[in-house]
Amino acid sequence: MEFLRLDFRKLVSIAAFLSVCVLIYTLQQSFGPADNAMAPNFLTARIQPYYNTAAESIGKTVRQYVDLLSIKEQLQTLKAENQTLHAQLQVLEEIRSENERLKSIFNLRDTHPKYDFVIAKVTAKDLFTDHYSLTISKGSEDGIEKLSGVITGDGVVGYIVDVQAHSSRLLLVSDRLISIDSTVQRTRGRGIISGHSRNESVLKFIDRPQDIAPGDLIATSDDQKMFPIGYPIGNVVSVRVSPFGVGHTALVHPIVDLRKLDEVIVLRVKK
Amino acid sequence: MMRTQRFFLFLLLIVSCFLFETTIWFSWVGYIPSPNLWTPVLVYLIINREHPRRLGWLATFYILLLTCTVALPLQTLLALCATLVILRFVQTNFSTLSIFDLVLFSSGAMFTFPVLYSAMDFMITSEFHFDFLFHFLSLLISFPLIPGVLLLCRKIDTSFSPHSYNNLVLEI
Repeated sequence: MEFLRLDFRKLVSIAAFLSVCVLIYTLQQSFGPADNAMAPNFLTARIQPYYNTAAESIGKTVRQYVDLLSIKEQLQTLKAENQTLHAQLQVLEEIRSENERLKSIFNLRDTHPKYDFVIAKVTAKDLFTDHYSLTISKGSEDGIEKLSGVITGDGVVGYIVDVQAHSSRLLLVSDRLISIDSTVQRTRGRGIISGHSRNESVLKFIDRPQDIAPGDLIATSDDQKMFPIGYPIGNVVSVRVSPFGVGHTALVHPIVDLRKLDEVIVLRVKK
Repeated sequence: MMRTQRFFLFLLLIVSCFLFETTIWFSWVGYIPSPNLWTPVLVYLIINREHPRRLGWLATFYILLLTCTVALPLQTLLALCATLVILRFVQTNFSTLSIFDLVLFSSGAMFTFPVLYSAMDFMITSEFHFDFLFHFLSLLISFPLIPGVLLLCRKIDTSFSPHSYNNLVLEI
């Protein structure tokens, strides 16, 4: 109520305010709005962009942060989903390779009716670094006998040298103790395959050096019953001609990668 | 009693070393050279056992070795005996043996034994199959594990020693 008691100062202030308003209105009427507001507009026009930029950048940052939070959540979900899919893909890949292996075994069954096929898993390796033998998961209980041939869908792996009830030891074609009667597929030249190093074999006792050349395919011979006739063993890498003219040797690279064996096929001759 | 316990513990250790190499390492890592853990045990037993027992351990090693490999029995025996002779000869140059000495002996034996084995192949068939790189990698991998194996051997020996303090006092 104090404000409603009008004294001289209040009356002067109200009168001054009203007169300023009237003056501005009159000026607007006579010159138009743009010209008389030029001075304050000039100042605001200079400052406004900076304010605008600052406000925009703050807004942008806040929006980005909010977006990032949601992106992080999405990323977590996608990561989990990706891992699940990756695991599924691995399983499918495993099934596919198993399927391919089994297919090749079925094909082998058709092409080699003289043999029974026993599929075995590789469970252990040789204790000696210089010997190349593997232990497989099938033994005499599964019908495996000593000197049974061991192959994969690609070629010869070796043969069985020791049989236990539920496991057997297989000598690889790269072991120095192995001997397999074999022929050069192109010329029918004969020799004995023996081991040389971790992933190499040698063809020994070749009669004539002209029977063999680098790139030739070495296969099992006709005079053995351990393996199917003409089953591939490896490719000739180089030939060493004996200076005395007898017993030439050739370095052979096995067709089967002996360092990546997981499963093998043991051959049983049908009686 | 303590002696029997110690014998079976060492037997268990040797078989564990063999199986670690042939199955566990193989299924985990694959065809990459495995750490050679049985040689340090062989070296330890050859150096730390008296004459008749040493030969007993050599025979035990020989029999167990042949169950895990296709290596030729006679060649393996000769290589083991030759390694033993070399180790005993070198040992005379050391008055006290530390773990460091044993590590050196074990590393030496890791090369000596397969070289001798392959050298016999050379004498029979004129072919030398020693794969230096493969053996070197094996040694490199096994090097950090050798002291552990040797300390385990020493721990078995000290924990199951047949000589008690009272026996020692009586002996003095």
